[in-house]
Amino acid sequence: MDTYTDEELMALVQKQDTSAFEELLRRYEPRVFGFFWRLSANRQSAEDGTQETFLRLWRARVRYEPTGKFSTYLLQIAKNHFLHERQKQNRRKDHQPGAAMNPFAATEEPAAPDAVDRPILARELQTAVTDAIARLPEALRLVYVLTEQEGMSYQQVAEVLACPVGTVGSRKVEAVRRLRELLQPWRDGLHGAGPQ
Amino acid sequence: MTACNESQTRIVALFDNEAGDEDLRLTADHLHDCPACRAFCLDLVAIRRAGATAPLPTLSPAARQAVLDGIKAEQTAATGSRTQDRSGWLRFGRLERWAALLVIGSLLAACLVLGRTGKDLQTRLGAAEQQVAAIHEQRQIAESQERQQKAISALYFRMAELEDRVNRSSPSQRASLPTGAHDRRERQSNF
Repeated sequence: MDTYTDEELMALVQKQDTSAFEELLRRYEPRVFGFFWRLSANRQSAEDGTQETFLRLWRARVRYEPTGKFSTYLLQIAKNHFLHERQKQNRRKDHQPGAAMNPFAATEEPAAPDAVDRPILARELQTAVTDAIARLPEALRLVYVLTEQEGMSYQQVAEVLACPVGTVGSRKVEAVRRLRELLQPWRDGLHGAGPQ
Repeated sequence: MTACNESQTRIVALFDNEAGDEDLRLTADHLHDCPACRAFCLDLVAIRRAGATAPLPTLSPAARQAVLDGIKAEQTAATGSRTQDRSGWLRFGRLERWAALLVIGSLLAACLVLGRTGKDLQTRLGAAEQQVAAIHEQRQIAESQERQQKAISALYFRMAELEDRVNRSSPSQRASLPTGAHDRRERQSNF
């Protein structure tokens, strides 16, 4: 199975081959899990998202056509699930007073470091960055995670998100600006500490 | 400020390998004179570095197994529903086959009966036509015979009149006429 391409494996999956599906799971599980982890910074959400994405892939196997890259197709499923879950959460929040309606609004208030006057460990900075990414508005967060963490080109991100390439660029710049604001309390640590 | 916005867009695009040499030159020129954009650039590098080195947890074996179990459960459910569908289809097919056989049999029987009846009718019609033709022919013969009889009767009646007139005429006139009985027989045989 190692020698098969993703598309060949999907062709086998379409014939109910579970071992081919296991191989795809082995190949893409870290990437999909990482995608959800970076979007949510929450293990349970990331695991649920990963499980649901692969289940959706299995259910959609008959409709799969190898017209583009398999990874793009898989991340589209993951993105759709993420947005679907966010919509459900927002609907629940809408019933609460003072619910935010702006999709570009940050999801939560940024967390400030509890003690910035002590030496900041690299691990703390990494966690702060992960948290800050998870707090970006979802439209910006998706673009940031897909370009920065998944290493996708603007064109690929545009395909996944079904939006123009120019929008990807402008959202990416906006995401970086928001991250700078969110990480303002950590600025000294960011520039002072390297990976440990 | 617009120059800074454009420059920051170019900086991000350069880091994402989405910009060209011209963008690089313009950005370098701008960074040389703009401390705000230099800070933006440094922050971007620091955030990228921290994000890239952030530890990434992996999917737990239990969650991985849950994915596989979920797929197997879906596969089993799909197989079960397919088998159910197939048995339903078979049942329906069997009934349909019987119904089709019944319909075909009825049609064949109807064709046979109708064919036979048609043949009989055709034969009977032919015989009737022949009978009608024979009757018509007989009728024509009878009419012709009747016409002949009438003509003969009229002729005899006329002859009787003529003989009667001859008998009442003078002897000189009678001598020029043939002998009565012989001539009459001769005429009758000739006729």
